[in-house]
Amino acid sequence: MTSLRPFHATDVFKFNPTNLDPLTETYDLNFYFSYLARWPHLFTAAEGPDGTIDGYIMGKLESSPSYYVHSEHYLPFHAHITALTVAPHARRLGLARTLSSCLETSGDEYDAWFVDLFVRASNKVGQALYHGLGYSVFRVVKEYYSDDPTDPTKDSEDAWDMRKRLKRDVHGKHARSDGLKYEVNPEDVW
Amino acid sequence: MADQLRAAQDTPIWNAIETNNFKQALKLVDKRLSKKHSDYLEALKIYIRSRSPQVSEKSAVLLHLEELPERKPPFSDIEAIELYDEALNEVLPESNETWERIIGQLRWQCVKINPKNEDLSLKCFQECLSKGAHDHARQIANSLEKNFPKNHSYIFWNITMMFLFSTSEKCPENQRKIWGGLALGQIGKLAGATREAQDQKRLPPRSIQTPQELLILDRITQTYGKPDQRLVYLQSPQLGPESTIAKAEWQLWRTKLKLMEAAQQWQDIFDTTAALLKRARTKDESSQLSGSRLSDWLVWEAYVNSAVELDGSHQVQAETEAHLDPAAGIDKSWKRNASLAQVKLSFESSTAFSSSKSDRVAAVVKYLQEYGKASTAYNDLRPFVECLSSDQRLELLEILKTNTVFSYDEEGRTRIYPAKEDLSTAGQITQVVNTYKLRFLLTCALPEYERRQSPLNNSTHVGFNCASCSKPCGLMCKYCLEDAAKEAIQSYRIAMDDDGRISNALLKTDQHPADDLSILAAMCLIKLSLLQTENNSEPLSRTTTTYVLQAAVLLENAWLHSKYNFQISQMLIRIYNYLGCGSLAMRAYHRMPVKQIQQDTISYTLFDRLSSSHPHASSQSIAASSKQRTPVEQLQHQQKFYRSSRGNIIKNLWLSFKHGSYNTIFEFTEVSEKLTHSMAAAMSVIESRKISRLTVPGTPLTEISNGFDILPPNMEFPEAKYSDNLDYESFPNFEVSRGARFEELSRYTPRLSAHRCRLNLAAEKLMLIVDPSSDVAQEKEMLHIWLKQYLDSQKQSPSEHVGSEGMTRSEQLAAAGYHTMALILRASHDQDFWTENDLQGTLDKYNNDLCARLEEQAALVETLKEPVPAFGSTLHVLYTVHEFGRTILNLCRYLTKQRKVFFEKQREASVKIEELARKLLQQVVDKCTVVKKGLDEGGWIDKVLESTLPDAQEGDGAIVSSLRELLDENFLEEWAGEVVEGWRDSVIGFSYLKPPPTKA
Repeated sequence: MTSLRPFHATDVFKFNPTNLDPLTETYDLNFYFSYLARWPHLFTAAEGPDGTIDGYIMGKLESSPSYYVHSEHYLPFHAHITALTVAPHARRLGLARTLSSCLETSGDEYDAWFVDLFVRASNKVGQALYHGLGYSVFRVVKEYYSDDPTDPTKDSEDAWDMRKRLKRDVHGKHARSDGLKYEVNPEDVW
Repeated sequence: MADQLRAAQDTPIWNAIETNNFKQALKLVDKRLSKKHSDYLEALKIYIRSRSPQVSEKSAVLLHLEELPERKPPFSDIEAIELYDEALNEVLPESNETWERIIGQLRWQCVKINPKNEDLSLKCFQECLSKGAHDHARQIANSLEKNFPKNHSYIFWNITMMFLFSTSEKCPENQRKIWGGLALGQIGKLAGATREAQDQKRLPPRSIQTPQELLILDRITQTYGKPDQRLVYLQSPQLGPESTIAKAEWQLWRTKLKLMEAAQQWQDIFDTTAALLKRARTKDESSQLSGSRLSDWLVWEAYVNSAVELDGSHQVQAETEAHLDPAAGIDKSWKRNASLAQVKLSFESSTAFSSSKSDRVAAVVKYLQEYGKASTAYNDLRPFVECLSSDQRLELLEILKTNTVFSYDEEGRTRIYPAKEDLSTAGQITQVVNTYKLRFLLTCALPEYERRQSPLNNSTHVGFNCASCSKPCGLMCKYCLEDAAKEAIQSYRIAMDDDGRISNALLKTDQHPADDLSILAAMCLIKLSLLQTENNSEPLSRTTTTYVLQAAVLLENAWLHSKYNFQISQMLIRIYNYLGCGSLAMRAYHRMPVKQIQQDTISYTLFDRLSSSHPHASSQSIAASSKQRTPVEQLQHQQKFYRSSRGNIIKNLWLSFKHGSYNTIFEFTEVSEKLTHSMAAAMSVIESRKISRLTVPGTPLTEISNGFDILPPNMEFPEAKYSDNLDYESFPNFEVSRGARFEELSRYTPRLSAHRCRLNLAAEKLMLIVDPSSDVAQEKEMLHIWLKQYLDSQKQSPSEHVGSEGMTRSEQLAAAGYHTMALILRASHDQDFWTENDLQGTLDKYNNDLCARLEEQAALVETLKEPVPAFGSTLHVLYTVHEFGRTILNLCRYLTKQRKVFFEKQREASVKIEELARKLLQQVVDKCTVVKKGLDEGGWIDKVLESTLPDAQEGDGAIVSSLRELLDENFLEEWAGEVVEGWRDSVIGFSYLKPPPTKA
């Protein structure tokens, strides 16, 4: 069964089915709670028949600060996927698609221009997932990550900034199909 | 400008403070005060005095601070109050109650004097909130609302604070209804304004306008409103889930549907859910299924339930088909709900599909065929399969056994499982895993559950005939469990024998799809181990041990292929703890990425009773360097989490107010409560103190050191509430959904309980009283006051100090002994007691009780006839008994120093008690020597191998041969070596179990 519900603060006591997986980082409470305090409507859990957490998505809605408005890297009001995770037992069911669609719907509800996310250049599985969900690379952030899990000799890795247009972006000005050509530095990314 | 001037004038004073030249600082302040008096300078003076290291000065400051709230007129200078705030923190840090009484009151008075100073009010509100001074925060929020009427947020701050205060423990009982009622009344008015507004896009300030405001409306109404009022709001077009202001907040739909079901509004539910499901499959103007989430399982469930009540099954059937139509383009996660709704309908409706017995089985099989490639299929189907009749179960079992479920050939030819070709893809392996889990449910878990529930399950009758195999059995059927284990092992072997086809396609971090076969087999083996009761033979010749070792080696083998499967690790921790291989249990624990909040939920798997299993640092290397902490360091690291989490929650409470996330505030408060009263936190304190006392004897463990500060006061009292945040859910479980989980069924030792925490914390304080360390001398008077209160509280709840919830036999005996020790200590100190008519008689009774406990403990040690190798239960007895013996020796020493009038009456008994305690300690040490010598001998690896894979005996050879086929010999030998090393490593801890000291 698939059932979504808001992620509650008390879910931190029961998110081990997702967070004991090595691909999901467990942060301090401040990380989860600051999202719940600001964007509770963008933090959604998928639960199983016995209430087990099968997956969750954390997101936010924001724009670059107003002093940044004239920068070419200015980001208008948009939704951002901060974390999307599905427990090992609940994979291959389409839950990642379901959860990200849920965030997109909220983005539309709050009149955002697009949804974006960062994914490691080496994370081919993640990239394939997001391509399948309709995301495309908008730009490449050079040396965004301070490590490269696929190559211990490197001390950085690029990030792909991927985007999906929302209803407000009627003319598609906030997404592009040739984003791999556009490279920016980490300091350009707000 | 004034601020700058003050800062310039203060510079020399602050310079003096920074160099700890408080005398000079005070002199400078006095000089300025002599010219012009100011509240600020008076406060600065108090602050400087609070920095003094002298206790007398700190006490004087506290007395001064206590008088401040009564001052007339109150302070209006916030900087003066902030200095008093800091002064209080210097003399009494972390005391929220005192802060609230003094500083909270000063801050509120200051806001009252400056009601139009918004920044000041906000600052004071934030401070009061952070210290849990809810009543003052409520008053400030009220002031903000009154003085800034155009600010929409403050209206809700006030309502939220009234409600929060009314539900807090600090709110006097007679005020709860007042503040709750006021919150309800005010928010009700705002709800009315929203409903009456002409334009929902231009609502007046005093109205409900956001999803979070709707959620807080529901929360307050649920607590203080009439039962049906919530539904009235949720059914209103302006306040319900479809209102403009709800912004599609899904929680509102969830609540509305649940309330409608509770109110049995079947026709409304049917119409509403039918409309939602239709919308879910209807494309919008851009050809998108933007409402797809409306086909949530909650909606389907309500739809089917209402259809069953209204005989509308055909509509449901039609709706499921519409959702399952490939042309509808619905995502597979939502389609799954439609398929499951068909299963539900076939089970719950008397008319759907004519609902014959075969139809139900057919519905299960159909779902399994469609979704069997996902692990969740078993969980989805389990509640339905549990409802099948005996005949239907047999029918399903036959289908599952003959493997007609996944044979897709149209001619219906059947194939026999396990067959190699059926396990050639990850999806097919998962199908097989689901099949085996269902077979386990039908043949083992379900019949077991029913036998447990049976009226025949009582102490006089434990014999049953197994419904699956028809053989005689107890609560568990040995034959069925062996069968299930054997088949799962065989199937696992075939799945893994893939020439790397599947394994190579997996990411390093992936779990292998066949893992659950191994886990299932290990579960059966663990259950089989629990069937056996023999204890007098050598540990390695017991059948129990054979099963446990088989489970361990099976899981270790599975771990080699799936290093990130945390369920394998969880099971291994339990098994190795049972076997007494603490270092291997630690290794399994560190294979999981436990951090942050998981230290509260998962740490119990290793740390509970660590002091009596593996209190020392392991000699075996554990992979990551950061994890190579000693047990005490690991526990202290856990305690750091509790300290930091407070600040994290407080910070975000304020952020929630700022961002209007009112509902979230109550969730944070709940988390805060749960962490404050966490059972795992108490466990951490207890275990770290026990280990410290053992490994670093002579170190004074004052009350405030070693973790007590992370617990609220008096957690040992009967009325202290504990929060059980322990995660049992992530432990693997294929048992019946409505029965006990496997985690519970497979416990070799009683679980962590509030009862045990209370008794252990009380014992910790008793140990402090008799602690010979001079460093704790000044605490002892306070501890005697505590002791009196504690024993009085026990009198009021006499049932609390007896009972055995969560306790082993040695813990029960120790707890009873500590209770008697508490009574003797009170008698030794309470002079009123000495005037009792029969002091000697009472003392004799206490002393006799204590002697009896010591003798019982000795008998318990004596029962450890075959202690080599020392399994977990043996280690636990030795450590627990040794601690008890040491404490009683300390008691004897302490009593000799008590007043003569008392000690004269105690002298004779003390001699006997001391003798028994010494004997007990020597007995423990002797037993340790036996274990150490035994393990020094050779041949243990062979013994482990012989025990794990014994020569086939009647009926149980199948598991052994299945394991032999699966396991590589080199791997087996290496693993057996690790187990032996684990036992030898555990023996290192015996060096802390000292013989009794020589008599003075």
